[in-house]
Amino acid sequence: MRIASKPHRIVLAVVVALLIVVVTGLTCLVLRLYWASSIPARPRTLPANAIWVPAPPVPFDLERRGDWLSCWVDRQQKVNRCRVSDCGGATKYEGDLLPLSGAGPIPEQRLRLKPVTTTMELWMWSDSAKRDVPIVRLTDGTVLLPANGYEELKRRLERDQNDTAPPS
Amino acid sequence: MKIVGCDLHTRYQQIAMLDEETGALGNVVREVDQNGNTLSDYFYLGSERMGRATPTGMWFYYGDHLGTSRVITDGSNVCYDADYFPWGGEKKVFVNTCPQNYKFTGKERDPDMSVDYFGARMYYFGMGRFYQPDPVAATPLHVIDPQRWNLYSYALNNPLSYTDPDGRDAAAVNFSSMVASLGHEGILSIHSDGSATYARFGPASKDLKGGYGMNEPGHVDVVTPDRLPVVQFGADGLPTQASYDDLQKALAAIEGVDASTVQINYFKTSDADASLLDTWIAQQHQAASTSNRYRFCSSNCAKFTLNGLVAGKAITPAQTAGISVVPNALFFQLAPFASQSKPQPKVPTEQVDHKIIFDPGQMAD
Repeated sequence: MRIASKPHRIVLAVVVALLIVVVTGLTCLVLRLYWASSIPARPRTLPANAIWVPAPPVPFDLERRGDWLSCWVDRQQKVNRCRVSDCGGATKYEGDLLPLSGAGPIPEQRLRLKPVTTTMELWMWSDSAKRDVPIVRLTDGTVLLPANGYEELKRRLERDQNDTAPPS
Repeated sequence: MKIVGCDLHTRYQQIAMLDEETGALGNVVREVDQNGNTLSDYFYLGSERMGRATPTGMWFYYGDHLGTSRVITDGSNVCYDADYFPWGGEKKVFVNTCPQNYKFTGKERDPDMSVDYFGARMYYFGMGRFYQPDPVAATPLHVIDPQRWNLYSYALNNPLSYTDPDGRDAAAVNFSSMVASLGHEGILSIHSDGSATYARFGPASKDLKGGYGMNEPGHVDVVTPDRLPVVQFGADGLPTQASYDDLQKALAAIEGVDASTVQINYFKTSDADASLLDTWIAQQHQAASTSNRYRFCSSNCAKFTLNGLVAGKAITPAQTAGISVVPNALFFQLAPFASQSKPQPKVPTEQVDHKIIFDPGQMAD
């Protein structure tokens, strides 16, 4: 058996090292892509009914983009409160919400959040608040709107529904 | 001795006493006198004036396809009825028992100077020309289309088909931090009333099965105007800085990124061009799920945005030659063609927690 000469051994070592770097890099990339496309673990600060709302998909996404949405009943204020947090649990929005129709607050047992396809369906611009606010939909069809700017949002939402309603 | 200008002085004094409040779409919604008493309230359907209420009564406006108030009634009787010349002058006034100043395309007419106020400029209907040149910087469209060469012309010299509402534009939106810092791109269609529609093209999913979104069925998402802020225009006909900021915030929330990574290339187009873009977006939305496949290197979000800008005549097909379909590169390549580009700030805005107090005493030396 012929043993490779010293220069050949160096070339071989470089090739193997490069292969290891490439394979490791690709593995890290695939793992990162898998991580970015998976649903993050719910931060401990959020209630159990929190749902993950992913951002609209783009290819080759190395970041987790999306928001956690959670709602509860504030018994002291007798109102529903909702919080939107980023994937790490940092609060992006928190406020009182009122039902679009009927009286509030919605009791805890009815407060089941309807899954939201993407963040495009979650946020709506509020002129009065000068920021994006969440529109929360429950599994029983109830819609909750932020109390701040409620009338404006209700008007916009109803106009939106009328515009998209199929012709009778 | 004859005193010239006395009437004029009195009249302008009256006008100076008058104050106007404008609504979110830039329309006059109320006129009040110097004491704050309401003289008129105006009501709109979208951007079209529908009615006027004063302490003495209520009037209803009937406009034509350009928004010109052709007939006004007081509920039971016609109190204004007029025919108009194509360029906006009143041809024949049949009835005029309720004088008012909102005439050609619904714009306010100054009866003394015979000019219409179009927001950024004054228009003289006798000549069919603006008194001031177009404040928007020249774009490649100004070179290609001879009707845009005259900066004083009105509505591409086609006043029966187009109006000049000081709006209706297209914008390419860039999200620089997405897709491993290659960026992501979407398109905005901005309407005459400031309402905006956002459209973006992406893969239907981004999981392992579809190669993490590299080659998948495509999906066009459309965000309706009700979910986005209304664009406010400045005197130069371009969105105000506050409007840019609001759009950045709203689009950042939708895409799940930081607002400071959102950049906008803004293109001023004509009324008809923006209608073409709206139609194109609707067609793409219908077609995407069945025919448009998303391919990372060829049929991607940047290509979609470029096609949209061509459909809306913001750029020409020839200008797309050699343009990169890498979104972050696209932003810089589109900038020379845009009426205005708003890149992200290079330095993050710092929280100012102290005030600089100017002391005139220190200047004494």
